[in-house]
Formats: sequence, C-alpha cells, structure tokens
Amino acid sequence: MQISVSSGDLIAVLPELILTGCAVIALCGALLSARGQRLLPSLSLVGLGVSFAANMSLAGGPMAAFNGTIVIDDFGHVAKSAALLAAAIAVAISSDYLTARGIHEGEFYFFVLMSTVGMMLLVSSTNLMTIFLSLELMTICLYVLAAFARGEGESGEAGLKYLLLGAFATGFLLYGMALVYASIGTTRLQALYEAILRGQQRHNMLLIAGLGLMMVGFAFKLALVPFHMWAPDVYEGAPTSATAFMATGVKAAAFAALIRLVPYQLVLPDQAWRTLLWILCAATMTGGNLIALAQSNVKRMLAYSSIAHAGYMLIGVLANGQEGGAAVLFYLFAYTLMTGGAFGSVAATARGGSAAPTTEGKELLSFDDYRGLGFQRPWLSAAITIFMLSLAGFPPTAGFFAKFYVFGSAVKHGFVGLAVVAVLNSLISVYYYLRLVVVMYMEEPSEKREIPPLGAGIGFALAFAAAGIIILGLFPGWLADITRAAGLPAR
Amino acid sequence: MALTGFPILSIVIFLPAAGAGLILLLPARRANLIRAVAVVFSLADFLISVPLFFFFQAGRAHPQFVERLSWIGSWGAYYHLGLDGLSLLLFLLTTFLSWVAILSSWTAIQQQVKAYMFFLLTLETGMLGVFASLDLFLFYVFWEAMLIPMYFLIGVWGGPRRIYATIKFVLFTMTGSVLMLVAIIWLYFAHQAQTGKATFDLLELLRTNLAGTTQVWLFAAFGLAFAIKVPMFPLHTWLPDAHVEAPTAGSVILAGVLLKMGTYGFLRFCLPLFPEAVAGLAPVVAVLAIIGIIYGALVSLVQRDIKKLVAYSSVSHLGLVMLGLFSFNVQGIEGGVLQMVNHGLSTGALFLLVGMLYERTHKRMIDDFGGLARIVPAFTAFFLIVMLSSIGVPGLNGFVGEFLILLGAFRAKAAYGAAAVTAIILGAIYMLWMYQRVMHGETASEEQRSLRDMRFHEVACMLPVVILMFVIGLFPRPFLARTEASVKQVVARVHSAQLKSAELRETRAAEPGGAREKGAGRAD
Repeated sequence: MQISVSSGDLIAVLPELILTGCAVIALCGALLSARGQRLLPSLSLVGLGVSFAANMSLAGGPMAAFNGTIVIDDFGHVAKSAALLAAAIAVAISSDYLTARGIHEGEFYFFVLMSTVGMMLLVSSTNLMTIFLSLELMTICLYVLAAFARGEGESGEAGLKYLLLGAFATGFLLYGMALVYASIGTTRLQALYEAILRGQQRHNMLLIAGLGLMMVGFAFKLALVPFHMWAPDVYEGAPTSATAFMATGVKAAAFAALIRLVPYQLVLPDQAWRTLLWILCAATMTGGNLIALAQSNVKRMLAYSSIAHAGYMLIGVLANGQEGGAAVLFYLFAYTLMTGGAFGSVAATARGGSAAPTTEGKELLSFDDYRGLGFQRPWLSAAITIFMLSLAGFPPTAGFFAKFYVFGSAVKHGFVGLAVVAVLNSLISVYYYLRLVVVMYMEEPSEKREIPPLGAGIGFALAFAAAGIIILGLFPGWLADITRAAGLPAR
Repeated sequence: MALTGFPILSIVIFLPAAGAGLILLLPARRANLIRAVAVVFSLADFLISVPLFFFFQAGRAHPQFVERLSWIGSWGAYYHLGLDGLSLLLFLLTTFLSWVAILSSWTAIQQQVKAYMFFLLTLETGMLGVFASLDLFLFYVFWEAMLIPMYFLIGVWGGPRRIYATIKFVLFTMTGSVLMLVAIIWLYFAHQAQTGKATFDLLELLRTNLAGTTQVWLFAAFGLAFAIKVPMFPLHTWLPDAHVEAPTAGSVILAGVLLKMGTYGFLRFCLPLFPEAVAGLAPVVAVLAIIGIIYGALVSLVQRDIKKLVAYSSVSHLGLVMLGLFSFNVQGIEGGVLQMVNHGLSTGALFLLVGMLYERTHKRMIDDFGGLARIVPAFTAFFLIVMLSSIGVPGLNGFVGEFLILLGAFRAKAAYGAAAVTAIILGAIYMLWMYQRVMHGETASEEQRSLRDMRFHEVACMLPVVILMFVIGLFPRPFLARTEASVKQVVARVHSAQLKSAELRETRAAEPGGAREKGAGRAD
C-alpha cells in the first residue's frame, strides 16, 4: 500500500504538530542554564494555548485524514480541549513545584507535551493501529514522568511499577487487537462496526475474545477496579505535578477513545457487554470510594478518589449514545479542573511551591499536616475546599452538574439501579472529602509548619481551576450545549 | 400587580450573597465593620421583602412575583422563581429570622467573624432560594448548596462535639437528598417520555401521569429526604446533636428555617406530585408523626440541658405540623403552614434566650439556674412570653396554629386529634416545669446574682419576634387569607386522587384476580 500524506492531512493534525514543535524546543531548551529553563513553562503554556486555538479553528464537520486512520470531529475537538486543559494545569503547577523539589529540568515539559500529543491523537483515532500507537506515545512519556524525581526511591518505584504493569496492559491490548484483526481482517473501526452490525459476528468467539482483551487493556490504563492496583502507588510516588497530569489527561484521552470503541461492543450479543460494564462501573466506584475512606495520606486519598471518578464516568460510557457521550465529555472538564486543582493544592502544601528549594525533609502529605490550615492560609484553603466540595458533588460546583449529567444519562437509558449505586457512592465520598475540610477548619493547628507563599504559576493554576469550577457551577449551560452537540463521535 | 417585571425575588434572594461577597473583601481585623455590614445587608433584605406580604394577592392559588428565565437550555432547567400561599410566609420568616440571627451574634461570636458572617449570609441566600424555586432542578441546587454554610457554622463555631455533630448532619441530610436526586431525574424523563418536553418546571411536571406503584417509589425517595429534614421519628437523631452543638444563630436558623424545609417539601412536592401515593401512605406518615409528637415531648420532659430540651421539643412540634399536613383538609394544612411560622418564631426565640444565658454563664443545665426572675426581670418577661407562645396560649401565635391543626386532625380521624391533644398537654408540662425551675425558686449560685439583664442589641432582636407573636396571635386573618387559596388547591388535588384510587379499588373488586393492578404497574 502506498502511503501518501497530503497537505489536508497535515492541517488536520495541526494542533498536534504545534505541540510537537514546542516539545522539541523544550527539549533543546533543556540544554540551557537553570535560568533559561525557567522560561520553558511559559513556552509550554503558550504552545498549549496556540494548539488549543488551532484545535478550535478546525471545528466543523467530520473529516477523515491519513487514509481514514484518524478523524477530525466535534467529539474529538472537545475531548482534545480537555486533554489540553489537563496539560496546562499540570505545566502551571510544575514550575514552582519542581523547582522547590530541586528537579526542575526542561525534559519534564518535553514529556508532558509529547504525552499530550499522544492523547490528542488517541482521541481522534479510528483505526486500531493509530489507537495503539498514540496510546503508547502517551504512556511511555508518562512512565518517565512518574520516575522524574530519579533520586528518590518512591518516584523510581512509581515509574517501574507503572512501566511493568503498563507493559502488561499493553500486551493485553495488542493481543486483543491481533485477535480482532484475525477475525475480521481489518483494523478500521468502521469496518469492524459494519461487520458486527451485519450480524455474522455474533458468535465469532475470536472477535469477542479480542474485544474483551482490548477492554482489559483499557481498564488497566483507566485504573478501573479490579485493574487498579498500580494506580495508588504510582500516583503517590510520582512528583505531584506529574500525578495531576496522569490523573486527568489520561482519563480524558482514554475515556474518549473508549467512547469511540465501546458502541462496537454494545451491538454484540444481548446483555453480556452491558452486564460486564455495569459490574465494572459499580466495582470501580465502590472500590475506589471505600478504600479512599481509610486513607491517612491526602495524595493517596486523591488517587483512590480518581479511581472512583473513573467509575462515575464509565456510567456515561455504558449509557452510550449522544447523552452518554456528552455526559462523559462534560464530566471530563469538571474532573480535570477539580482533580488537577486538588493535586495542585497538594503540591502547594507539600513543599509550599515556593522558589526556595527545600529538598530535605519529607513532604507534608498526611491529613494531620493540614490541621488548622483554614485560617492560616485562607485563600489556599478556600481553593482546596472548593475542589473537595466539587469532587463530593455539592452544588453550585462543576462536580455536581457533571455527576448530575452522568447519572441522568444512566436513568434515561434504564440503569436506575446503577444510578442509585452511584449516588450512594457519592454519599460515601462526602465523608472523606469533607474530612479534609474538617481538618483544615475545625481542628487545632499542628505544631510547626511553614508553608511559604504560593508561586505565581501554582497560584494561577489553583485560582483558574477554582474559578472554573464555580463558573461552571453557576452557568453550566454553555458547556452542556457544547458537549451535547459533540456527544456522538463520528464513525 | 404592581411589581410586574421587577425582579424582587432575585433581589431578595441574592442581596445577602452580595453582602457576603462584600465581606470577603473587607479585612478580617475590622470585626465591627464586618458585623455592621452583615446586619445592614440582612436588615435591608428583610425590609425589601416586607412589601411582598402586602403586594401578595390573597385568593390566588398560582405563584406570584414570578421570574422565569432559561438557565440550562439543553436540559430544560429554568431559573423559575415565584411565591404562593405555601411559600410566602416561610420566605418572609427566613428574611426575618436571618436578620435576627445575625444581630444576635454581634457579641456571641468573637472568633473568625469574617468567615462566620460570610457563611450566615450565603446560608440566607440558599434558604430563600429553596422556598422560592419553582423548578425542581433549581430547588435541588439551593437545597444542597445550603448544606455547606450550615456545615461550616456548626463545625467551626460549635460546641465541643461540633465535628461529630456537623458530619452527622451533613451525612443524614445527604442520604435523603441523593435519592431524591435520582427521583427527580426519573420524574424528568418520565415527563419527557409522555409529553416530549424536557423540563424541570414544577408546574409542568405536575401534569405528569404516574402509575400508582411508581408514585409510591418516587414518594418514598422525596419523602425520605424531607422526613430526615423535618425530622420525623425515627430519622431525628441528627437533630439534638446539631442543635446542641451549633452556635446560637445556627440553632435559630436550624430550628426556625431549616426544619421547615422538610415540611415545606412535603407540602410543595410530595402532596401535589404524588397524590395517589400520599393518599395510600398517609396513615403511615400520620402514625410516625404521632410517635414523633409523643416521643419528642417525653424526651424533652427528662432533659437536663435547656438547649437539648428545646431541640427535642422541635421533634414534637414538627410532628404536629406533619399531622396537620397529612390530615388533607384545609384547616389542618393551613394550621400546618401557620404553625411552621409559629414554631420558627417561638423556637428560634427560645434558642436566642438560651444563647444569651449561655453567653453570660457558659452554662446550659437546668440545675445550674434558679430564681432568675428576681435578677433579670426583662429577660424573664421575654422568656415567659416566648414560652407561652410555644405551648399555644390563646392570644399568642402558637394557639392559632395548634387549634387549626387539632381541628383538621379531628376531622380526619378522631384518634389523630386525640394524640395531638396529648402532645399539647405534654408540651405545656415540660415547658412550664423548665420555666419554674430556671426562673423561680432559690438562686442557684452566688455569681448569678450579678447577671446582667438584656442589652440593647439583645432587646433589639427579641422585641420584633415578640411583637410578631402577638400580631399573629391576635390578627391571624391576613396570614391565613394568603395561604388559603394555595392550600385549597393542594387539598383538591389530593382529594381527587383519593376518589380516583377509591374508584379504581371498586372496579378492581369487580374484576376478579386483581389483574389490572399488575398491568397498571407495568404500564409505566
């Protein structure tokens, strides 16, 4: 087969190309002096902004590119915006946080940007090959980011664990893809869908096994229970700004890819896939929330909380159709703001996020370290409170509307039982999210704790996320309209 | 209507929030300035809301002062506000009590005044929103959002067990409301399936046809949320903790307004939306209400802590309100609505008075006091009036409400009436006994001889409450007239549903096997 690349193809991936260019500049910039490297976060933010603008300018009807291996559609635009938002928050946090930890190096931004490119391609992939390639581009960068604090044992452990289990998951995914290819002889999603719709594949065990293995691969990447074991250790061990990125960007990209993929499975025999997803949903929500209850470390609690939120989002995938897709897209924005903000606040509290390097001593991560923070650092604590309330799903925050949208899509498609499981789960989660607020405002301050003032980047990121959550909480209509229009991915 | 086009409800609802925003900008050390801003904003809010009472047209069942704007277009959620006979009085009670509560905290709160006033004002906005919302989604947003400031008020400025109390309060309330959320969504889609229109507008959802079994489920989900808030026996256990631990203003708002949201919810949503289920389940609710009435009164009788006594008396009083609502006649429900206001005034005032005692002595036990009548006569006089209002002495507000509820209860079923009378007798016993032990007899300790009588700002917040008690007690007509039309509409709705289900039962009896019941259940 002759592979030719037209100019139309290049325009279609313009946002990705811009980011790649930025990433290369960042990599070269890593050779600069420490002072020169201080420019890299701003450069990355500008790159993300330009890429976002390019992404917006491409909005319009669906358009296939690169021989139909990727598609440019509204669904992809919105999901890409979520990934860009996740990257922007992570970059804004990183500068101050990494400097304080003494690991501020230009390569960090290279990996964040390249991983974002992977996410954006994953979101628009309509071919098993491009899905696999972009997924790997995304995760390989993340392995490095997880181990970025190479001098420290925990970070190394996180990187290694992520690499080993990630490779394992990749194996499942690839094996599944191979079986799918073997059974229908193509890697194009469109052809796969048509083959299933024609009904000849209903009892094709090879295909069913292949799709099942692919689902396992995605479940690993998304840390769905019971494939979640790696996530808490990796999220806890990785540098916090990398965690913020992993916890938000990956979810955005992988959920979007899943929404492109899952409808193909749902047309398969009867209830089997639905039951399977139902169980995955319920197990992920309940498992994540119950284990989060028992945590004494805030960062780890947030890791389990992000598992639980993956469970909520999976409801939208199960509900399927325009409603489900739109609900997940909406959720991704709310989730990115609140989880990115929450990890950002952890980063701010852990080291202070100040310019002064304080490498020695352990990070302030336990609930006890937050005691009495409320009236000592009112703005930081107010931001943390907003993130926690939003994660718990209180109105008027974005988190409430996101949950409402997802649960609504479940009720609409007849999953009332699952909606009840979900709301009871958010009830459980209220306890541990509010526990942090209790500790901050209602308990006496702990003995000695110096949290230096916030750096500009981290302060901006937190303010942006908190304001975004409140604005979406008061006026969710515009985003609801956008996501609804984009809810159905193009085939 | 003179107020057409003028968004008075929005102004009243969001003025306190604007005050809260202003307070956020003030420096924390200017405590007196912050207090003054809070008092001014809440007083202005009350004064702006008073004309609502006079412009409100009695005799119209439909909501007035309506504002309706699209909020979330694609979901069919509207910013739809309006007051009718069911909500008008509670709306005004909220602006009134919020101001009283804020004024009463002038000296009582010394720590973190800025955050405290911020939360009290945002709480006021939330509560007003709950009473004025005519869109289920908007209602739910206010209903849940209101929890947050209350959670902070109890948790930060409360007593020694405040953290336990506030978490219990939040979790109890949330348990009910998350299930209500699912029910709201269900109702929304059921309506959409029938009419093709996606809307959360209460007035439109009222036209949804729901099968009997569906109604029971939805009623259960809504009812649980409201029953926890009321609180009805046996879901009341959060209440004594929250009341006792909350700061005075928190208790005033909790007892005065928050509990009413439960009874209001039954009246506004459960009765009109699910009349068939309500008709069927009324005996269950009434029996729980009666248990609550007697249980609350008996537990109050044995309390040694005055604040706890008042807290448990709320369980009893609100049981009475519930009994009135579920008697399904005009007298009972009108009495219930008026009694919500009365309870807000009298219990709110009792908490204020207990708070004043506590501020002076840091004690709350009945045994700690004695013979106060000789030392603080003005305080005693206020206490006496408030207590008499609480036990329903003629001439004061409590009498009118209780009398109407009794009338309604007797008309519905003599046994209900008899139970309600018991409660009123018990109520008189525990209140009078407490009054006797605290105000009369020997002075309990030497230091109490130097107790200070009411100060200016304390009189300023008690006096309006007491005046209002007399006004409602002596001239109840204007208040009842404004509720009557809306109450009649609710009663008519429930009665027609009762008739319908009675007819259905007869036809079912005619057709052997009861096959229709199954069919009807499945059809929806």
